[in-house]
Amino acid sequence: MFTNNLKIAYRNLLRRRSFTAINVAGLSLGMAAAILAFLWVENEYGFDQYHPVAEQTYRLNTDLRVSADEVWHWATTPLPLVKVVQEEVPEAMNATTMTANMWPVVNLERKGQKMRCEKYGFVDGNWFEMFSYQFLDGTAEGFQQNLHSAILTQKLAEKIFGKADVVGESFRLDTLDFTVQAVVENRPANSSFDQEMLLPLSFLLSNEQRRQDAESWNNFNFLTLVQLRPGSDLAAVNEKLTTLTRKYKEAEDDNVSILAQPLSEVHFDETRAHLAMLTGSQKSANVVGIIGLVILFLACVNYVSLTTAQAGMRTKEVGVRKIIGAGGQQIFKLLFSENLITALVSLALAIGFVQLALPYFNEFAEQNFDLGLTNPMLWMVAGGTLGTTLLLSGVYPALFLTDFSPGQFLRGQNFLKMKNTAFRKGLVVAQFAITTGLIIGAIVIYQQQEYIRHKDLGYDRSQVFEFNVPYSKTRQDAVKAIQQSLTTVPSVVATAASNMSVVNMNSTHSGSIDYEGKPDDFEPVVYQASVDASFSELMQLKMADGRWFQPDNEADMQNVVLNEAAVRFMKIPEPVVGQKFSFQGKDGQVVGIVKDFHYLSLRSKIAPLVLQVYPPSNSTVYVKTTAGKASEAIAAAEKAWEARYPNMPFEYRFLDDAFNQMYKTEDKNAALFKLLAGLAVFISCLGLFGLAVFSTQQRVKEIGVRKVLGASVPSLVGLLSKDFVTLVILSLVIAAPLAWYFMDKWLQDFAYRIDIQWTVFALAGMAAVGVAFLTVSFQSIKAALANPVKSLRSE
Amino acid sequence: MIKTVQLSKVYRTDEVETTALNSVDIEIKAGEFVSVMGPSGCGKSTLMNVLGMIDNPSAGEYFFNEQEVGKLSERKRADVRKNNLGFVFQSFNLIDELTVYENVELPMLYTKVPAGERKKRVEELLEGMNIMHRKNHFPQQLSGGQQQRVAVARAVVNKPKLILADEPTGNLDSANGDEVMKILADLNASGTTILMVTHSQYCAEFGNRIIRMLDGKVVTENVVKRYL
Repeated sequence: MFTNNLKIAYRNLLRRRSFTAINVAGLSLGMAAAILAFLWVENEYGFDQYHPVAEQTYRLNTDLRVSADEVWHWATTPLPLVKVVQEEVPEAMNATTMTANMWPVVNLERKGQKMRCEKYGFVDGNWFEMFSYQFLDGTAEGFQQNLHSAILTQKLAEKIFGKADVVGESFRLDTLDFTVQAVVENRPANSSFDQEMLLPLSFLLSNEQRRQDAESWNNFNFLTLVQLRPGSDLAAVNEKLTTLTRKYKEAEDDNVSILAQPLSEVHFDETRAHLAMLTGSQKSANVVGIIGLVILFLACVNYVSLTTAQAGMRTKEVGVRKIIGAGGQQIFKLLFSENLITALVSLALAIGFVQLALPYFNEFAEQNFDLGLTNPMLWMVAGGTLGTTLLLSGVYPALFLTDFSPGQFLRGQNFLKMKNTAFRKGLVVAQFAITTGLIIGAIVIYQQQEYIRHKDLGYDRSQVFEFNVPYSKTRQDAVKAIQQSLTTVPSVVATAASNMSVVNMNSTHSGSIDYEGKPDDFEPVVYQASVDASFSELMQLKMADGRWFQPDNEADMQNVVLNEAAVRFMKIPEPVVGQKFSFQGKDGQVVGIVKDFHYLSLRSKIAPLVLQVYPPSNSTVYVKTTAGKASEAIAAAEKAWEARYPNMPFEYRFLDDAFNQMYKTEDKNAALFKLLAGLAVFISCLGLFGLAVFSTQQRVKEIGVRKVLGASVPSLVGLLSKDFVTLVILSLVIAAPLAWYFMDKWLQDFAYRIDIQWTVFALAGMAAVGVAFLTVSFQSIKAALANPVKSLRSE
Repeated sequence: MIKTVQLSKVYRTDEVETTALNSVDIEIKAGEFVSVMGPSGCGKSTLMNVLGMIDNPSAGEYFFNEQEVGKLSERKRADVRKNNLGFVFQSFNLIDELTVYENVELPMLYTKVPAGERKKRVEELLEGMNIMHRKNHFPQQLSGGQQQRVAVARAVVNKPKLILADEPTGNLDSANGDEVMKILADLNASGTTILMVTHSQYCAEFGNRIIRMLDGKVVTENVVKRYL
């Protein structure tokens, strides 16, 4: 019976090959998109779960209360805590620590080849006991004893040496030679710890000054990870950790708390994002998952509506089988085999698509998913997708055809006409409502992106590039010398320096501010930056009052410039300019008020900003170039750099790029959204096309009669397209308010945002109706042009 | 074998109510060959459908082998059908996706006849109907007469007690029609009860009794007299 069913199903699918092709195309595309989306979601939710003791592993976090209504959340703790945990907390079976990005980047060199490495960390001896690393060559044994040793991923080893079997070989890290102790497999896509190079913590602590800093209970620079005994009482552990920390910190205040957080929750904890760990957005993961489901749903809707539309063609077969004695179950099995075959063929194609798309997907998502056909993950996700598809698209059509009495067939009733047109129309409306909603979303996202890109930021970032001068005791001189050497270069308009990029001056300060009239219980939190005298002119900032810092004005070292938001926020008494102002131990005055400019992402409102001149911290050098002479200016800057830092690569970026970089996540999400919207449109149109083919087939006789009676081709095309276009318009009516609601919610994340105009809906509506009409009219025109003699004869 | 008491069937659509069978009382004994005649719309086919347990009657009683079957569920009717009845239709109603062989084999799949037995029976029947050479063809590749012979083979393959034939020669030329009628007569001779609806007096006389219907009622019943 089973082989019989398969055989019949196969013949049926082959006989209606155009429909089968449409079904398979839609389903396989939908499945491929869903598989990629679900893989992403699975990866995000499965972060760090592959470590053998993952379930017992916890990260120790710090909560530091800085004022009555402000708590700082950190993912890090003081270094000595790890030892205390091992010795004084009985619930702890093991503990380890890592610190990363002691310096933002390190410079590597091998045989004159220079490169930079940002993903590195210092770990202690227990690290490899708690976290899983696949050693390709060498081991971790003796890692801590050999101070100048390094463990590299295969990828970094190949980058430095051009090959992976490099244990025992050495390379230069800044000014020291390091030997490769081991090479490990590249970090899996679901690892929070994505360091490409691990160095022994003992090396970091071998410097006396650094050791003293690190071992202070006041420096919270180390990730501490603990393996707790199964069944430990977490509240009790937290209490112990907090008590111990307060004891050793010798703090009289009780403002510090230590909290153990399960490793499985670490990845999505964005408030404690830490440079050493990859943090993900649970919201994004959920959105991607939902969109994957939606696309799969759209593809399944195609399948269901096409299959039920063709039910009429199956009346005879099902009727005869029933008369001969087939039970409902047997009919269901037969029809379900057909759906199963279609779904399996689509799945095979989808897996093919996934394999083809994976490199692009990895590049786009900055992931390294490896989905060979032997990867169980692929089959798990594919199995889930197949199950969902069968549930959505396999069961209903089969039930639908099973549920009719053979008498209807013998009486010549075509039950297609009787029951399911409303249902199918409903499906088309649902499908196009989703599609139109996605189109509206894509337009709103595009408009917001354009708005951000072209918004007047209050400073001029055009033709400016920046680069960072690395920390050293002589950095102040280096910055000055580089600037000096560029003043005579004709392609350079001006240079300036600050302690961080103007694009995102994301550093806050509180506690040292004082001025006339400040209430005693008011402890303002402000953003802060150090700039120089030429910063304002290079950025073309505008003064609201007073003046900017002056070159060679010693007094300005103590003075500050505030932005308008700061003046409003701190309610500094008039006249503001000239008011005494203490900031970070310097007693000066407010010399000017700069007009508000966007020194943060446009997601946040312009916040209070205090600007000062503190040359030792200035590390970012800006160079404004004359139009069209950028490459000469860059060459000049590089020359000046090499004179100072011959061993380090010169890396610069234009402010435009830096600005765009800040919206990289948004841009990626937007690109993903647009891609999915496009896919949704395509899949929906595929289904609509199939329905149009079917519907015109059903109306061949009507069209023939109308033509004989004198109907024109345009009137026939209108007649045949009208139904579908009406459905699409109806779906627009449903989609518009929903899309408005969700997109308005999305826009709330931006402090500076567009208003959603009615034109967006008009545009999306026109797009949906236009695409639907084009899709349907192809069939309509074909039918309308057909010779009526032929169509009437064929009846 | 068959007995109906005041059997009625009413079709209702939103606005129209049609009485297709109006208090029909008939009785058919095992081994009979009964022909039903009457003009279009007189209720012949409805009678066939109700007696064939494809439709339930709206009122009255229907006894099949002395068992009331008029109120059975579709599932139970299907059970009775597949074990006792064979159907032959005017438009053959072969399944286009199945070959000749598979069409004939199909009813045995639903009654779970073992594979070896199935093969034997299908081949015997196709041999007997003289269409063995076309067993791997699809219905569209056969002539009308051949298709109807396949349909008859399918109807008898499960050795039913009763064959219901709805205008079995309606779509056939006279030569092919004759051939099908002879097959039915042979089946009857070997003990199968046959109930046949027909427009043709000639065909009707192959049976041994003719029931005439008009407006949903049985108007006359005659025994066919054979003059040899």
